[in-house]
Amino acid sequence: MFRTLRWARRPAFRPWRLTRALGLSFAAAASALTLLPAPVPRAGTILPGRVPFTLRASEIIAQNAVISILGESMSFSSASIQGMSITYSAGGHTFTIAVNGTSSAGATVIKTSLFSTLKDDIGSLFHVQSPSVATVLADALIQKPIPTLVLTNVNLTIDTSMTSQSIQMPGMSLTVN
Amino acid sequence: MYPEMAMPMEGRTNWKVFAGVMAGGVAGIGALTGMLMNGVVSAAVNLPVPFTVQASSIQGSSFSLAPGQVPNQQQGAAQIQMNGTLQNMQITKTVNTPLGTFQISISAGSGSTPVQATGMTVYASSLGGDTSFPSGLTMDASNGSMGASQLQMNNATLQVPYLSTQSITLPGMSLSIQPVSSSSSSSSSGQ
Repeated sequence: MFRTLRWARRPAFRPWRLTRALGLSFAAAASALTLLPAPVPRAGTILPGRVPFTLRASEIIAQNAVISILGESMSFSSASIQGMSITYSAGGHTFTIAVNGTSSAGATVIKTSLFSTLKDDIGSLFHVQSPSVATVLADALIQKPIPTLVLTNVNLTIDTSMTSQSIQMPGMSLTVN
Repeated sequence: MYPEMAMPMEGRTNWKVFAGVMAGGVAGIGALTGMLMNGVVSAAVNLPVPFTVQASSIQGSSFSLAPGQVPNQQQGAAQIQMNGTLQNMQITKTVNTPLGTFQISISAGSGSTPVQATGMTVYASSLGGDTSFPSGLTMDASNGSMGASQLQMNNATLQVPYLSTQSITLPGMSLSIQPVSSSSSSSSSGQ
């Protein structure tokens, strides 16, 4: 009986307490979300909702190349590209840009989520001719520049962007199928 | 009941007035065509029929290329937007008629003054040529577009199902119609 009366005499729940409780809950949720591990795409998966380009080349000789697994990017100061083609599909049609000859590119940055899984799936993206695969992967972890990077059988899906300061495409042709 | 309401009105053509107005209109069109041929004025052009564009060189600015579809058609095409300067431009179109197959050619910009086009939108089913982007090229996978501030194409050939420009000058324009299977031809030149 006394306990019931004591509860009855307690003041009503005040609005500032509700605000404080909600704020603390929101902060706790934000902290929990921040600490959750970010989802990492499996090898060979790309970001959804994109129009990814597929860059193919029989050989790329790139100077001062920097591959970043953490940054999901590859950059180089210049490159010569043999057998280059860029393909993408949109609206039920396939667009193909092919170069008949050697393409020369200036400073270029390629960003794609596939680089995040490079160590698991490097063989499906390109074959490393020089330096060794181990060297490339080790340098990619610490973003160390590779003076001359030679890749063959390049089949790289770009789901973010490719930016080149200059590029020459001799005998370029674009077809729509 | 008024009788004139039941009878249709009768009128007559004043042929002198008609001839004067017609002559003035034809003279105006001729003057505009002549100025267009000499690059004095530019015109907005909308060509919704497939044709081929060739040019010895194309200098483009504000270039963008995106996947698209030809307006009012199901055909896929690259939607190209840019401002362009075309040297030795030639537009050709093959037409089948009951009298035979003819090729219509429009040439312009062959002299020292090239063709200038602004606000050009081209739906190209194919294009080719020695291409360079001297000031950079950006490819954005969020929407499949390519963009460049400058484009240089040499020996360019475009298959164009649809073209529109906000303005175009056609200096030295000439039109020729040639039977495809014979050597006889008729032509008119603006030079």
